[in-house]
Amino acid sequence: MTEMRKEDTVKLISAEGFEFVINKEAAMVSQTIRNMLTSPGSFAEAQHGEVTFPEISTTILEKICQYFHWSLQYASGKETEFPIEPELTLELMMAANYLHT
Amino acid sequence: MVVLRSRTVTPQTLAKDTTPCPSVIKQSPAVPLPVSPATPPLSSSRRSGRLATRSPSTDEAPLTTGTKRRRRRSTSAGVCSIAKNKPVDEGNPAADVVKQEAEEPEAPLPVSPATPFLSAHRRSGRLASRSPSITPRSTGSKRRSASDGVSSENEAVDEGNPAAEGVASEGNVIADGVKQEAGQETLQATGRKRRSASAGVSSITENKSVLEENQAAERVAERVKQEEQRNDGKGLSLEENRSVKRTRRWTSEEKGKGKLGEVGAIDVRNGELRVPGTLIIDEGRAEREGRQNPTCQPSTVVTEKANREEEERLKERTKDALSKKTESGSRMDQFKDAARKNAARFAHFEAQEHLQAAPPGVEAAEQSTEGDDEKVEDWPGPFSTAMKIIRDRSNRMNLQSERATSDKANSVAINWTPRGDVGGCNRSRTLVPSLEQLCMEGLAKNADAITSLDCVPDVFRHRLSQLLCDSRKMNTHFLNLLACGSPSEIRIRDCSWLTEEEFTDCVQGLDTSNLTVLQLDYSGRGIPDYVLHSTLAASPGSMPVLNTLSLNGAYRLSDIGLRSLVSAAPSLRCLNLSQCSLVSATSISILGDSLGSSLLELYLNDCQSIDAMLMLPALLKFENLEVLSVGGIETVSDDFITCFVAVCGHATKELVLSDCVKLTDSSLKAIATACPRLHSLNLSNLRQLTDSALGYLANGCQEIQTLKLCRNNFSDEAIAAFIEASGGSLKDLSLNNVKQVSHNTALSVARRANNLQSLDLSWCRNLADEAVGLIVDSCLSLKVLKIFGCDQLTDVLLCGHSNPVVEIIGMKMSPALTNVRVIDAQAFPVHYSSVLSSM
Repeated sequence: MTEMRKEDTVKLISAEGFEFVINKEAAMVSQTIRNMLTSPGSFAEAQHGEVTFPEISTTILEKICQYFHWSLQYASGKETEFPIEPELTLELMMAANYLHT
Repeated sequence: MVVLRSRTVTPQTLAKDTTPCPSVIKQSPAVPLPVSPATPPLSSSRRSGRLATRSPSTDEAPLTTGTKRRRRRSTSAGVCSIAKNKPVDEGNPAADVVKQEAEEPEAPLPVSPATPFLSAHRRSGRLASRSPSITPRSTGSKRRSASDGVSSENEAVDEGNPAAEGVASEGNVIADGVKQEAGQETLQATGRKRRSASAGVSSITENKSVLEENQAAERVAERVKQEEQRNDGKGLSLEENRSVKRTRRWTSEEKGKGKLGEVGAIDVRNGELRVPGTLIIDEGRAEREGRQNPTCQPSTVVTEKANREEEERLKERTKDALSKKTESGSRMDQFKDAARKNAARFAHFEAQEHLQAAPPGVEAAEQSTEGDDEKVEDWPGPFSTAMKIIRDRSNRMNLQSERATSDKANSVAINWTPRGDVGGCNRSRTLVPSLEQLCMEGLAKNADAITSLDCVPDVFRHRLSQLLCDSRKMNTHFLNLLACGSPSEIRIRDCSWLTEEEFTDCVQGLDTSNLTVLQLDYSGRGIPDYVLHSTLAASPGSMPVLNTLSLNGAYRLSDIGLRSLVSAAPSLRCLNLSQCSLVSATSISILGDSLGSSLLELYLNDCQSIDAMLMLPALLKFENLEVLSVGGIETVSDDFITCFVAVCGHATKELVLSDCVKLTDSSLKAIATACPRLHSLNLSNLRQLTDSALGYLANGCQEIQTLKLCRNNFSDEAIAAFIEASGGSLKDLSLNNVKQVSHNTALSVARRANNLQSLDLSWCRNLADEAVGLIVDSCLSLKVLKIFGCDQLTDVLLCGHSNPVVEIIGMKMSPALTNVRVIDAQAFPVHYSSVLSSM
């Protein structure tokens, strides 16, 4: 596995404090995160490369990260199914709406 | 297999809650519903004693009726073959036997009531006067027998008792009315109608063989409503009858088994009824027109005289009906007749348009004599300037080109080169599905497993509801989820699956104190008047903050039902009554009186019982009406428009005038002068409009954002000039089937329509790839482009354009629905103004 440099990654922190470190490119699938990280003004998130989501729980955030990677895969041509556990669906939908993804 | 767990939605609970809740499976009703009380005619007949001899025969009669009638019978008689009564069916077979005896110790009615059918055919005033007294009970038992228990019956009894006392003086009148109504419906397939043919044709044998308990009960149910209305002293007698009549269950006509072409029988004691199944539309309308005068006088007191007249008319009609019935027309002929009658309504006939154009042209000529001679403008305004420029340009091009000018495509030069190579276009344009979308689809698939929508915001509820309706998975489970708690918005755009019982059950528990938006479209089957009276409209002000109500397609809603709805929802701002065929001009008066200053949006598309000129005085009472939608009402004329906009035009923001074929340029002129703030205009199928109409519009309405043209006869230059003059504000333009659209329009759109988000160029065959490509690349806000039927467009366009956002729909035979993504226009319940909510 290639080494992930610090500049290429962002840290997403869930409500419980779990930290997910993912590629910036993957995180940018979410319009909200993209705006946070790339807007001209300097948000704290952009500076530290960390975004906290106090309303999103760990399981949901994990699923969202999986979606990011799946989305990149899909866009590059490999079109597969994205499985979603039914009990997560309702919350996942609202989190996805918040993240504009 | 996935076990679905019930969880509340909040993130906190999800995080903390590690133990799965027991899975919730939809439970079938554990207990058969309590035995429904026996049909009232039976019991009442027993009680009356004098009719005791008849009752056994009537008992037998339904049970021995042929299988053909079984389905209808089952609503209260308990033969469980109606699918909708699934939960009830378990209880009903048992009810069958028990029913017939269960009634007797029950509900002591003071009056000894005659059986309704007996009273009808005995035709004695005294007996008849008794019939209403039993009706309340029968209503209770009939309507709720399938679902509720004795409690409902008690309610009905309570209703009935005071009514019974008060009925004496009006007994005769009511009886007559009942008989008339009974006489009305003399179709053979529904026995209860035949039963009481008022001309005395009914025979005891007929009654015996045809009568069925529940049908009698239905009839009685109708009567009680009728009688209650009269006791209240409200409403028109005629409309009451009509509304009562509407309460019967599916007749064989509704099920498609009725005899076709029997106009006189079915319809229209007051001309405003719409027969179920739309088989007899034209006759109905003709009769309606003929009967406008007598029926539209509001009278709050039932007069015997009026009833007598009715009676006579109805007797005639029933005689006609009977004679028609006895003719043995072949079924195919009847089908053909019906098809012929209905074709004009649904098809667009070019030839007919020309024929029809002649007579209206005559009247139109008188009205618009001044308009014909006038130019569009007296001074060179933007429109005519633009026209001149465009014409000069095309003339110049024609002069320059050596070729014959028959080739229109070369008359205007379009500079557009496709970017990229056509061959390498493998952009399938399928964007990655968003997580939201995936989740939504997952929810829609498993909707039955959702146990709670507590923390879900309204937006998601609506989207989910829409998905479920579209995939035909909407059911009572989800409806109950939506109705949980104290919901603020309920939107269901397809309630055709909803039955009366389901509706009643759901709404009875509904807390409407916070309800601001209620949309129950296509709910005709489940929402007749009396159900409304007992649920939503039970008391005035029961929906205090309701500002948007949509009952599109509620074909059983009549003026009376509407009246009580309106009194229940005093802060109504937006009302959609499209395709409510029983709503007449009276309803508009009701609305005007109570909501005149507050109603902002009124949608009356395809309300066939409304005569435009009759409702005009009431319409003028709306001081702030922003949206008026009268598409499909053919009686809308230039006079109507002119008068309306003269008074209300200052506030008008949206006008939908599609299919109002009588309109000509003069009404557009009136609109342009009187409606400066017009944002949206729909002129579909108005073939009499000419280019001057566009001229008026361009000069008068500078803020037009949505313009929907379809099959209009405007020329290419005129449309181009319009867009040049006032196309800057356009967001949604539809040029569907406007045949002459060509390159001038394309140039203007590309140049001027910078805010355009949605463009419909379907069936515009004169546009080449270059033209459309230019549009797509120049209109950077464009999100949706529809090009159905444009075979002349090729991959050069699809692959060569450089607009990353636009979605091109309509090519390549792809399934239409997968590609249609409607721009979310329904952001707010009321479109043009913000409505402050008190909560």
